[in-house]
Amino acid sequence: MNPRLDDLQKFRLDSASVSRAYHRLPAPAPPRTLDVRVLHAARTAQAAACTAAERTPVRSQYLAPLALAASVLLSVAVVLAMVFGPQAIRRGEESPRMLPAAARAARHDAPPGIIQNRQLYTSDPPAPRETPSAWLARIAALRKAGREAEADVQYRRFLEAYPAFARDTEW
Amino acid sequence: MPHTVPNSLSPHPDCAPEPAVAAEADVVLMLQYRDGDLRAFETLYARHRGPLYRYLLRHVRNAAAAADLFQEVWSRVIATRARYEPRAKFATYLFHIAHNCAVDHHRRSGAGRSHAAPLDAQFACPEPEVPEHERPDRLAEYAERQLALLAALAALPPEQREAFLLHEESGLGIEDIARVTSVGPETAKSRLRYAVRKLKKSLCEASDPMTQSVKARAF
Repeated sequence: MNPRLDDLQKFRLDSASVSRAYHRLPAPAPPRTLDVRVLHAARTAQAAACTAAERTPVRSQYLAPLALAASVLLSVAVVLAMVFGPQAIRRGEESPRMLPAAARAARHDAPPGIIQNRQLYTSDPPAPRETPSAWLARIAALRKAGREAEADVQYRRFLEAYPAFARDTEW
Repeated sequence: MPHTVPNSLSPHPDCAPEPAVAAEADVVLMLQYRDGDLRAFETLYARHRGPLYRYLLRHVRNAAAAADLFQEVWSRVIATRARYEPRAKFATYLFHIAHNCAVDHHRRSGAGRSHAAPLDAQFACPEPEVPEHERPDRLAEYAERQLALLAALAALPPEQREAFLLHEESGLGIEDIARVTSVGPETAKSRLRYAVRKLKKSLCEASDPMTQSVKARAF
């Protein structure tokens, strides 16, 4: 017989008899106080886990993507506001403080048509613009009323304002 | 030594499931407990409380230390339940924790080197579960054999004692014992063989009338 197998068989027999003898020994069990403590610890841990889960309905793994999406939305909103918002429309306008004092004074003296280009540089409400025909009608009315001097002054200003009109029109 | 065992926590040995089925069921129970089922933990605890306690008691040979370690082991199981992954039998997982706790205990107390330490009260005064209808001489012989086995177990080197206790109490095989104690399978097998050989020898000596008479004359 193979001595190695013989040794294994002997070990198994010994092991079985020792095992039987061991399991016939009194089997001490943990005291009840230990059972109570362990089960209480398990219950407490479970209750704590449930409480924590209730307190945080949104899991932490969703917080990072949510924060990123919110940041992107906020950035896009800010950029859109800068490009199309009221501040962007006003950007072309200059503050009244930037208008030179002389230009401001001339604007008030000049007839409405002359300062039409300067209105871009002021925040004052634009003066009501007189059309060439209305201006000429007013001059004609002055002449009809016998106020020739005033009519001449207005006509000179009209020609300054509309030089092309003077060349094209028979007066 | 009286042991107050709550009935609800003591599975009857005759009703115990087959080892393979039990191991699979243990894993399922632990997974259920991980997912929040407290009943699963209670069942798991009822199954393993006895073997774990006896392993610790007979390994560290001190009832107070065994009780502390027993509580520590279960506390670790509870604390780490969320990270539990069924990579091995639950018993392997549980007794690996117990082994680590026992090693820490030995380091703290320096008891690991005292092979011939005085026996704990549990070893000195066992309560043999002998049927009363047996004859007194048989009763005495039975008690003698039990005492001899406990004394031999206590006298084993800690590594051999642990291997034997793991094999007998948790039903682990060589591979699992090796995994629990973090040694190679050959080492685990060797430890178990030496332990069995020594215990068998002590049992034979306890049964041998010649040895008994020599002992009697010595007293």
